[in-house]
Amino acid sequence: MTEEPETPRRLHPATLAIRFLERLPQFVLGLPAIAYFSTDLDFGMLLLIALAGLVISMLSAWIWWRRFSYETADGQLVIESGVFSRNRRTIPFDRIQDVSLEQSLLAPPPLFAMGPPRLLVFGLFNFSLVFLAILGGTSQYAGSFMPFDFAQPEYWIGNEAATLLALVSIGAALFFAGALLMVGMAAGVVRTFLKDYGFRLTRTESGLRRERGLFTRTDVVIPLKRLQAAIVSTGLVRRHFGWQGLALQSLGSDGKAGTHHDAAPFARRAELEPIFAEMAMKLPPPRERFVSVSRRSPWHRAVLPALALIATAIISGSLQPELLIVVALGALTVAPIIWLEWRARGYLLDGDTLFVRRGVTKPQTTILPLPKIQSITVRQSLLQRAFGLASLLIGTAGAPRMAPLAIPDLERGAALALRDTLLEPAP
Amino acid sequence: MSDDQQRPESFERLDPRQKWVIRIHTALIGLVPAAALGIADLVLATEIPWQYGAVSLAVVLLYLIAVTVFPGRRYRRWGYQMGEEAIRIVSGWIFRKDTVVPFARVQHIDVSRGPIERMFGVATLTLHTAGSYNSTVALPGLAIDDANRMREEIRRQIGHDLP
Repeated sequence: MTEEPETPRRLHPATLAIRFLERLPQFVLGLPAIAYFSTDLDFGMLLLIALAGLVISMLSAWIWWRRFSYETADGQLVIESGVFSRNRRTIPFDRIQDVSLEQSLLAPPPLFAMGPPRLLVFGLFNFSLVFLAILGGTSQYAGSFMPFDFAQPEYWIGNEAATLLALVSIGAALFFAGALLMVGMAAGVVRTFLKDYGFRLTRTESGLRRERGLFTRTDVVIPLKRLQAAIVSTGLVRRHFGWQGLALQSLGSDGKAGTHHDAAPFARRAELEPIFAEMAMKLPPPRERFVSVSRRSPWHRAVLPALALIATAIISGSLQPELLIVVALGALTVAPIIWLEWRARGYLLDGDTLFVRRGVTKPQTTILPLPKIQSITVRQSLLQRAFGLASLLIGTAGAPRMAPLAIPDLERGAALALRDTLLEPAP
Repeated sequence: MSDDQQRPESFERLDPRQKWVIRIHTALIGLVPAAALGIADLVLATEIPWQYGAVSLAVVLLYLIAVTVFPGRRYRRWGYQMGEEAIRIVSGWIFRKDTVVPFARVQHIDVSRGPIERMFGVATLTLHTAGSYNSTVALPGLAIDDANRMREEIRRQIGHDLP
């Protein structure tokens, strides 16, 4: 700070104004949530709380700004930050992968880009339920001003007038559901435009460069040398329209594992081909070529739910036989899910690339070049041992720590054999 | 699965002194839940008509089994194999793990010794990989000389370039 011999610089004071504008909507949107949890408070009190929160938040932003400084000297960038624990980060210039703020006139055509029409379609698929939660909170708040309390059973089981009102309410509910659907879609479109407006993926000398964002433009370069794996995913609905998304797993840039970079969030397979060509990777082959995990896997996964259901059946059956229908319904929903999950799982070894696919609601395939494998563990739980199954867990750099690449429920022999094949040194 | 399918003869065993390291470690760690359950027993006995001592007796029995029987089983499940290009480590009594780390993928190596390990002359060899899963792979219970020897051996084979 000021007592430093060199002249560290602060961020522009306008940063604070931007912070304020950024935080304002959070507090406005937070009001219904506060209202939901505290029904006793009146509106004035609520506003006071929100205002106090905003002031505290701005105060902390100001302290943060006071304590943040940077300087460029001796071929390195030094950033000092932190309120209670000071952090001094030194980044030598030659370790900075790519800054590229300049724009060349002879820029090559992008590998992939998304214009407004594409964003609109993408946004519709990005149906967002977040706004429904906020609306739910608001209606709860508004509900306390209504003359009737809809949540009270006495209101419903009163007289004929009440039944009539209930019918009207069903119509209103349908209308409300339709309105929510529209709001959800609109929210999806808005969110998508904010995030992915002007999406461009270009090839630079060292790697792939992605620019996107409406208000906050981000500019990320993923050096091809640091690329570890690619993930092609799709959705329950968009799958049928041929839309896929490509994300890249690269060596953790900031010590933060599990940050995949969207490279083409909403694309046709033909559009992915040139990107894969640049990455020297193979696109996932059709599903039929994948090898399924063991047929015993769904049985193994059914054991615990089955035990839980049987226990529920015994307890509820002795208390109230009608509850057995609920148990049966539970079994009827769990069984297909287990089966679908098993069907979605598979792997394929093709030359020096391993493909792993999984997921029912969000089917995704990981494309992993074998040299990027850091370690492999074959793991067996007690239950898996009873079924002769084992899971293969593959350590890769930059993957989410909590969800490593896994091929669960292989037959034990197959798991050990696959591991040996995967770790065979390249010829 | 039979025992020798996971622990064939080709696996090296840990130093026998490691059994005592596991035992003392378990004894110390186990004190906390044992004490908590003991206090819970006292409270339960006053709250509900319950014979004081029933829970405590069970806790003491479980604690004794955990300290006398379990360490030996856990110790026997450990094994390792230094290959030409990779190290294989098996462990786990209830949840079994069988991990292979190619030497070329090792980022750096630690040899660490806690106070209990120092008492028994053993050390833990920890391999760090770039993967976020298995970012550290630990092999405890090596005689200190073995640990140092293995560290040198692996260090010679570490790849210089990052993948």
